[in-house]
Formats: sequence, C-alpha cells, structure tokens
Amino acid sequence: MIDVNAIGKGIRKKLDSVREYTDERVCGRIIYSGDGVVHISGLQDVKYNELLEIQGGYRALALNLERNMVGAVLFSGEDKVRYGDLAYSTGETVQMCVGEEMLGRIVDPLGQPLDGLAEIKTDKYRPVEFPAPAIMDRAKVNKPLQTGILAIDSMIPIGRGQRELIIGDRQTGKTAIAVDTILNQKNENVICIYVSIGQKSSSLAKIVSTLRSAGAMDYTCVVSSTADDPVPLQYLAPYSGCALAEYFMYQGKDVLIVYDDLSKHAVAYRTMSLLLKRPAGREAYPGDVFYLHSRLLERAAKLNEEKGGGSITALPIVETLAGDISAYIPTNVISITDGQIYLESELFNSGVRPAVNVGLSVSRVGGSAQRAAIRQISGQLRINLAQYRELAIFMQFGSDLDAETQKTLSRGLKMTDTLKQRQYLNYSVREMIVLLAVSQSDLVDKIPEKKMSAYVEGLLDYIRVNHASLLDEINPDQKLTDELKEKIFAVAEEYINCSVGDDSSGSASAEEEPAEAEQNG
Amino acid sequence: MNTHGEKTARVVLARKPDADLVQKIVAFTESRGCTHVRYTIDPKIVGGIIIYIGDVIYDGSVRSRLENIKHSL
Repeated sequence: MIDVNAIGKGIRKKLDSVREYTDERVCGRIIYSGDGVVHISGLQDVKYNELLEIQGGYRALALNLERNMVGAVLFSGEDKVRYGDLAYSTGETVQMCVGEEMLGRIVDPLGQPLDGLAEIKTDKYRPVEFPAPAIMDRAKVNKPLQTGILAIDSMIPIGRGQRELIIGDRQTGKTAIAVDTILNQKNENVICIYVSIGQKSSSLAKIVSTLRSAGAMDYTCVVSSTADDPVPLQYLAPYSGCALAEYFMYQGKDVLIVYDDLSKHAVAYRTMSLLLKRPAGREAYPGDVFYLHSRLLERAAKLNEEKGGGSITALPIVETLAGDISAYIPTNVISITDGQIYLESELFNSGVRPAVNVGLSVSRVGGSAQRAAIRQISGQLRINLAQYRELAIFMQFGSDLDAETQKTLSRGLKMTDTLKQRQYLNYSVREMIVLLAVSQSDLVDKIPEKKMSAYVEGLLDYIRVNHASLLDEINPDQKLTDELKEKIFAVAEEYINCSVGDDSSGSASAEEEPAEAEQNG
Repeated sequence: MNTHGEKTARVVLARKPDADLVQKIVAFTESRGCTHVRYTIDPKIVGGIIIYIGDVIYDGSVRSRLENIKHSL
C-alpha cells in the first residue's frame, strides 16, 4: 500500500526547501537564441565567466561582455529558451563540487552524478577557474610517478607535478598508456582523475569498466563530457577536473589527472568562439586557444612543504592527424608541457606496443625524479637504441655485416622486444630493474632473437615464483651493487638454461616454460 | 534613466491596484530613485507583484513562485 501521509510529508519537506526570491535580482532579457548561444540585453553588472540563470531553470555562462549586450553559452535548454525570456545574474562563477565523496564516481563537468548511483553529498565547492600556484609556492619535481610501463619509466620518466603530453595518431594506444598509468597507482597513494572530453560514450564506458574491474575506481573520479554533450560542458570539463584535483593537491595529496583529449577540447572551444562571433585565427581557432591550454596545464604543479607538498601530475592527450605534430594544437601543447610521449602508428602496426617513438619522446623534468637504480641502468639505453635504429635503417640496403654490427643489431632488436609490453601488464620498479639489467648484459646473446618477448615475461614469472627474495633485495633508491647485479644475472642465466636450453627447433618451449613455472607456484 | 534625470519603474500586477497599494508602490520606487511608475495589468502572473527598475527585478508574483516550485520538485 502506498503511504499517502509519507508522500505528503515528502512533498511538504521539498516545498520547505524551495528557495524563494522576492529580494532584488539583476536580470536581462534574451534578444537572440540559437546554436546554444544567447544574447542578453541588460545585465549591466555581470562579470566575465559568471553563471547566469535563465527563466525555466536553465544555466548559461557569460563569455562576451559587449556594449549593448551579453553573449552567453547555454549548458542546457538550447531548444527551450525563447526570445524575451529573463536571464538572471547569480553573482558567482561556475563551481565544481569537490571532496572525497567524488572518488569512485562518474560526474559531469558541473559535478552532477552520471553513474546512476546516489546523490553526491558534499558541501565543498571550488571555482572551476582558479589561478595556478605562485612561483614561491612551488617545489622541484623530486618524486617519480611510476607508469608501470618499462619504455616510459626507463627513458621518459615522469615526476609527480610534471605535465607530460601523450601525442599520436588515432589508434596508437594513447588512452591505453593513460589507463595503464591509472591502474599502476593502486598502491602508490595517488588519486586519479580521468577527464573525458568529447569522447564516444562507448569508449568511456569501456574505460570505466576496465578501471572498475581492476579496482581502480576506489581512488579515481571520472569527469565526463561525451561527444553529444553541449559544447560548453565539453569546454568546461578539464577545468572542473582540475578544480577537483586542486582540492586534493592543497590537502597535500598527490594527484594524477588525465585530459583525454585536448584536441577535442580545442575543437569545442573553437565551436563556441565562432558561434560567439569572436575573430578566427589559424585553423579557425580563436586567438586565445594557447591561453586556453596554458592556463589549464599551468595549474599542474608540485607544491612546497609549507603548502602541504601536494602535487598534480597532468597527462594531457593530443591526437594528431597523419603524424603531423607541427599542426597548431600539437605545437601549442608540446611547448606548454614538460615533455611528450610520441606514439607512432607505424610502430604500433609493426607490433611495437606501447608504440613509443623513443627518438621524439622526451621528459624535461622527470629525470631528476627517477629512482637511483633505474637511472643508473637506463642511462645508456636511449643512446644504444638510437644507434640500433640508425644501423637498422642502414641495414635495409642489405650487405655483409661484420660481427660487431650484427651484435649491435641483434642486441637492439632484443632491447626493443624487452620494451614491448602488453596492456594492463604493469611492471613494478624492481621488476623493471631486473629486466633493464638483464637486457643490457651479455646474457641476451644467448637468447634467440625471436624468443626475447617470451623470455622477458617468462623470466619475471620465474623470479616471482622461485626467487621472490631477489626482488626484495633490490633497493630502487640505491645504485645496484655489482654483487646484486651478479645475483640477478645468475638467476637470469639459470632461466635461460632451463627455458632456451639446447632447444633450437621447437618454438613452444620458451612459451611453455613460464606457464609451467606458474603451475609450480 | 533618461536625459532629464527621470527614471521609470515598471510595475506588473494581476489586477488594478487600490489607492493604498499605489501609495506603497510609489514609496518603494521613490526610495530607489524612480520618478515615474508605469503600471501594466497582466492576469497571467496570477497574483502578487513584479517591479522592474532598470536591470533589477523584484519578482513577487504568484506565477514565478509556482514555477519555482515546479522546477524544485
């Protein structure tokens, strides 16, 4: 039976909470509405970026303050707002609700839940636009942010508080790197925020289910604006995500924020600007598209101890067309960030995954934050790989090669194979140290070229099962001693002997071995 | 405000005001610098009063209160 009294009580309670305005409100009248843009006459005292309330309960953002009118973009009610409707100024800028309650949730850029779960109960708000930390409030980036991806952590190290761009064509694994990095923060005490800008709902759903099944949603908040959301929401999404990140940073926590992706954000801003009749510049982007991204990324920082020592590490993603990194948005964001991870579709298609182009990828500040042991053994890696690539191109002309060249080629190939890594298969720091040490030693000459990938995975399984104490012995913050190196090499050799052994014909042996090792465990 | 320093308040009511109400309205608008009051009768606001002075609106109409409730429920 329906309890009429309860319903009555509920309605009464709601009615009590209804805000009533009989006090004075500044208002204007809508004199134009179209394409999500409204022009308002009146509203003399409105501020730039002020939230407006349109008759009918819709909201808009005042962006153009002109002599005779105010230009604003609508967050909703594009087709409901009519000529002559009233627009009220609210006196406040856009706010994002923040707090621990946001973790594990999927919200829109205004903080409303999209995951169908309970209402978010938080009374804490932060302005979406906020000045970046001052120079004196900042500290040097000194702590690494482990992505769990060998190629990145060894050669393009990222530090907490750094801004590292992930750039590449479509379908090169940009999002995969970002998601892997989020998954790898599980026991690292890093709060993650994934901002999706103008993406397909289906791709976002896939990412969320990945995060959820890996248990990563416990420390992650997804700020979503999909491709069908109003353009102003897509424009706002990264700033909202950043506001949430700042809340945690100013509490002294480490935050990782992924902007996926900023090229769609620029496109959303271009749409808005053109509809607001702002002058168009290169590629029809407005003049302030650089400032659009620079003010966003400048908010990622490492704070000094007096300010709590928190940090925001930003991983913006930019999609290029046909590998053209000299287009407008890519060059802008490259110049703003502290380095980039450049992904190539050619590498991706030839099986090098993650498809990181080591030559074009750099990290400008992360090196100082790298763990001592990794820095020690990955120092030569970049140079060796560059030498290998040069030789490999030369080799394509085909000629007899001397033994020394052949050795360099073979080693380069094996190194490249070592850096290949399956998605969602993150390495711990200690595992990376083992792999880097072994793959650069003379031991690799004993492994057939085709078996290197299988050997790498097998070796880690073998160590986890049979020599777990070896990993504990490694201290990533100290240089590797020769003694420890010898120990690692001995175990690696042991595994080479039992997996590769005298096998020269069958290809199954190397693959079978790790499986067996797992069974033993 | 026009060039003669005159400022007009626009008052919307559901029905014609009586003398007592007019006096109150004039007192209210004069305190906010208005020299003239223009009355509009609009039954659509159901009841109450709306006063426009420049960009500022004082909305005490029954209609807006009802709409407000509609959006909140």
